[in-house]
Amino acid sequence: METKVHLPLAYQQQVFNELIEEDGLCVIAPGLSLLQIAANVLSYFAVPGSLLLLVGANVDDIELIQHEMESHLEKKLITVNTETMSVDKREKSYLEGGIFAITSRILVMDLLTKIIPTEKITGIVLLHADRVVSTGTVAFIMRLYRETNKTGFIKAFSDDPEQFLMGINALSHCLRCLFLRHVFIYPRFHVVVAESLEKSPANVVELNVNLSDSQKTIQSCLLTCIESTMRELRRLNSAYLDMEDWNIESALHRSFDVIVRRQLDSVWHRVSPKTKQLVGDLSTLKFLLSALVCYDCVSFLKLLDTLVLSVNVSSYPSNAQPSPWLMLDAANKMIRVARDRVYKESEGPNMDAIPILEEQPKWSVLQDVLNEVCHETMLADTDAETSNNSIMIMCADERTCLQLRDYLSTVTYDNKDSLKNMNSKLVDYFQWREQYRKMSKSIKKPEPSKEREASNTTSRKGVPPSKRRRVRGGNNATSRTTSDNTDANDSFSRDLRLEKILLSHLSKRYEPEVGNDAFEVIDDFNSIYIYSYNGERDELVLNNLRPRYVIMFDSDPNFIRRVEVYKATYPKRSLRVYFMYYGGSIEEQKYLFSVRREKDSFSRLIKERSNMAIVLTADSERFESQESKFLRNVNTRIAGGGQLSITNEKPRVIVDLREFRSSLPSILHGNNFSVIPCQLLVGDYILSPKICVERKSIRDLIQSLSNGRLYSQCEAMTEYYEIPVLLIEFEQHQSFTSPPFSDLSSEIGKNDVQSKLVLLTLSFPNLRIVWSSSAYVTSIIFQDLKAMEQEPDPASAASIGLEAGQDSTNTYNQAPLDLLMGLPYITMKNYRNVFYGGVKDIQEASETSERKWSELIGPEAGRRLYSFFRKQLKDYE
Amino acid sequence: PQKVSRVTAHSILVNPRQKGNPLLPHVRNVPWEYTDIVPDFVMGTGICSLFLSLKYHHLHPEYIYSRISKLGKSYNLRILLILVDVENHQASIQELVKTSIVNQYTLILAWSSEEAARYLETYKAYENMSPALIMEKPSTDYLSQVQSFLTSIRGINKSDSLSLLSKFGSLERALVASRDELEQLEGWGPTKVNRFLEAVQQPFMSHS
Repeated sequence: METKVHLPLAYQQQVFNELIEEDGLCVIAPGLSLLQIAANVLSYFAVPGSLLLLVGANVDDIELIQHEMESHLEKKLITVNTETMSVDKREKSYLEGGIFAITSRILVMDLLTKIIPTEKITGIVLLHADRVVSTGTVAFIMRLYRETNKTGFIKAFSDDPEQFLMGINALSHCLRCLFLRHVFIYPRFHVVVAESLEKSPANVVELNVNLSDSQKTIQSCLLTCIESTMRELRRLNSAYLDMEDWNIESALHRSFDVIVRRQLDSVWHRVSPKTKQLVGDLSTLKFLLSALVCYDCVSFLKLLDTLVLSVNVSSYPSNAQPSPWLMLDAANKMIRVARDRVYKESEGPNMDAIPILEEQPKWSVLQDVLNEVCHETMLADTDAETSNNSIMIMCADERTCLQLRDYLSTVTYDNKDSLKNMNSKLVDYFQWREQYRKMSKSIKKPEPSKEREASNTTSRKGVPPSKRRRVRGGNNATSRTTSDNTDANDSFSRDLRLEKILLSHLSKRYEPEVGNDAFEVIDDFNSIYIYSYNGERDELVLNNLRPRYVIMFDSDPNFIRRVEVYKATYPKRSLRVYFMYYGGSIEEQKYLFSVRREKDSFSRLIKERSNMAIVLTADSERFESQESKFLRNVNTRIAGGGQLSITNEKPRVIVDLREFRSSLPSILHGNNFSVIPCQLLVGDYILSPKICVERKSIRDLIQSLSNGRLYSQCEAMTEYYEIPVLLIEFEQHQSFTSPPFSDLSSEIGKNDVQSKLVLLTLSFPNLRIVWSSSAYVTSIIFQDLKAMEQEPDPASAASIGLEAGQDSTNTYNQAPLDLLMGLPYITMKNYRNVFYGGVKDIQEASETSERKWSELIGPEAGRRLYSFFRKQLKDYE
Repeated sequence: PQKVSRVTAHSILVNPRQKGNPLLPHVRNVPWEYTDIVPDFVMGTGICSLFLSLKYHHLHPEYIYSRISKLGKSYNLRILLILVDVENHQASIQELVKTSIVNQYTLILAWSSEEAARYLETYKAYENMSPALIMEKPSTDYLSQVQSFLTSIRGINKSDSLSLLSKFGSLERALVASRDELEQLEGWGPTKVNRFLEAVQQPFMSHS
């Protein structure tokens, strides 16, 4: 059987050959055409009658692999998700064989219910292997697979070396979960990779652009805010956090907030709301840093406004405290500067405002580059066969695409008009401010009324006061010494006046056209395409466009590799790359940091691999003994020295489909339970006809106690089962101690978890509570509880809670269902009426008539829900 | 049970054998008094509790079982209040979980005497309270309704929900927003937009 291989570069072939010969984990630098190699591996094994599975791929991965297979390898990829394929259809297709891309949640189900013939699987290709955790779904899949199938292959891919270095022995853990021994590591500095790519390098021009003065000021203000937030975090949590390597630089790294979260995770349920807020603030500030260079000045100001506003809206009275960084002088200064680069108040007696609308410094540089390129192509001969004359501009996101399109479409034709679209943005902004004002007004309403009364007497024009406004707007030019309140009102109404004046300046409103994925500006000589970075997809774009010029408006190390791969694949095509960056900025630092970080990670990973060899063999021996361990377990279960037989039925647990997100089903299976996936309406785990368990992690417990869901769940369990059980499960690595109980106040608090737990047990005296320090302990407790009981029946468990005319064979989609449950007036009792009553999705729900709603959920709730969807912000006072 | 008539009083009844229990000084929000009762504490009509410190349990493992069998099923809600005051608690808790289910006790764990006392206080104080506090209750303020609705999508936070609402003016309009419109929202990247669209457009239920 001859199979096609489409891998033009030497390093690609080497990776391919290594993987074909042996099972292993391939860690490759991002941008080095991982998906293309994966597609080739899959196709290589795809002989008729084989059954190949692609696991862990996201929608984009699937599409690109499909494209690669169809255009170069003459193979077909079948995608399996619940929406398109029913159980029967899946069973049939598996028998026919082929290459299947399956979401892991479905695969786990199909393996457990034996819909997929496990012994017939030829092999599994796993993408994003870095995300594997020992108790996760993928590891569970691999275990189920290896249990019955010892010969099928497992090939795993990852392009994120850093993940394998987080935590102790992450790499060997991952390998153990995947039943693999070998790691193939291909960094950019690998000899073969370097040789392949450096044969005919592209011509690269670096353009160092300076930040504007106001941007520099904002940047340094942001850094001050970050520093102070980190200081505060450190002060509050010195006991838990390992602060050794905390500095501004690491704070800028993309996964910094993740690392902080991870360090705090073991005590997350005990850290104060303030700490949680600070961790959130860090992410926000980091985002602002990147927004500073990629948002235009108006959007940036709007973003700041939204942040300030959202601080004031808080559904939880306990953490209504504004973020500390907003109180800093630096934050005030930043907001002032951000405003000043949008519009300014003029000096002199007449109140007047001038739009400033500072341009992003890169814009004019981009224009220069385009002019130069146009000039050049006019003079040069066209060699249209190899590259065409198109120019490709790459930027960070869709927003920048749109921004550049707007900018270029105004600037190329008439330089003087370049501010036109910025003006329209400003008009938009002011109109948005109207809405904003209304919202902030209404937010202020529920506040204690004393202050409001006092200020109302002093306010002019009936404009309601707003504390927030004082902090933000009032500080800029006012030097009045009047009382706080008059000052606030004054600056507020002055802002309002300023905006009115400005609005009259900007008379004409500009209607933006509807945007597409790519924006095209046609001029006489060449086309300009503006794209945003889109991972592996960029490879495809490069191949299709064959641009002669690539302008990297934003930096992206992975895209540089893709260009390298592209250039090496087609050495004859001429290509020049302009690389723009803000010198001395956070953007540059971040870029350099990420490049260095990746290189370090690879070096460390290579070291790790060489140290790991011994550990690994020891481990694999343990694998082989798993069989005997299993037999031992069976033996102890048959007390009294009965005959050893594996055919003896394992204890059965019925598990709700949703629970497969957690690690417990996988652990139960590992502890010799027979796990039966089932769509349950009442409870998460059914241990026996009598025992029904609702599992809550600490976080879920707190949440579901305050949104009332747990009460309804207990109600349902009590109705249908003799022994309803609430399982309070702590995380494995978390400390087994009370939920945020450490800060016990001197009085009984209504919002304390204890109080609510007391109320719950008072309401359900029959509810049993199981406290478990981890999922492992839970599985032992389950064994205990099952000992005296009969086995549960899946069919009857699934039908419990169903009403007449409702069917247990349907599958629910979690995300829309969560959203539905988030609606006011929708409760655990009535939510199923919504979709059984014919409302398909949320969009349809928002269009449903009032009469229909009252049929579905009752007249009062129906009327309210109907108007909830329809309420206009402008009616909202 | 012979003292049930006194339960109507506003205090927690304490079995004299609990004298010296370090949790007692922490019971401050409700009065308590020593009375001759079978359980350790009576917090209300039909509500009682047995108290067990794990440290003691490790020394006298049979103690709690004798108390349980003596108490029988004479109260409607029987709390087994455990003070977790040892490091190696796993095996005993496992065992007590099983015991509590077999004997129909509600198991409550406390990690300090203060916390244990707080539980007792709360049972007394909430004895006749309606469960409205923990039931599904529609909040009436429009903006917080919108927020709790939109933030039930993974990855969407409060300020995202506000920028969505302020841009489109109403939920009706926001829910049919296109990808392009969404991506222009301040702070909304492609991941957020995808999650939003998925939650809004996917059907609640697919027929198989």
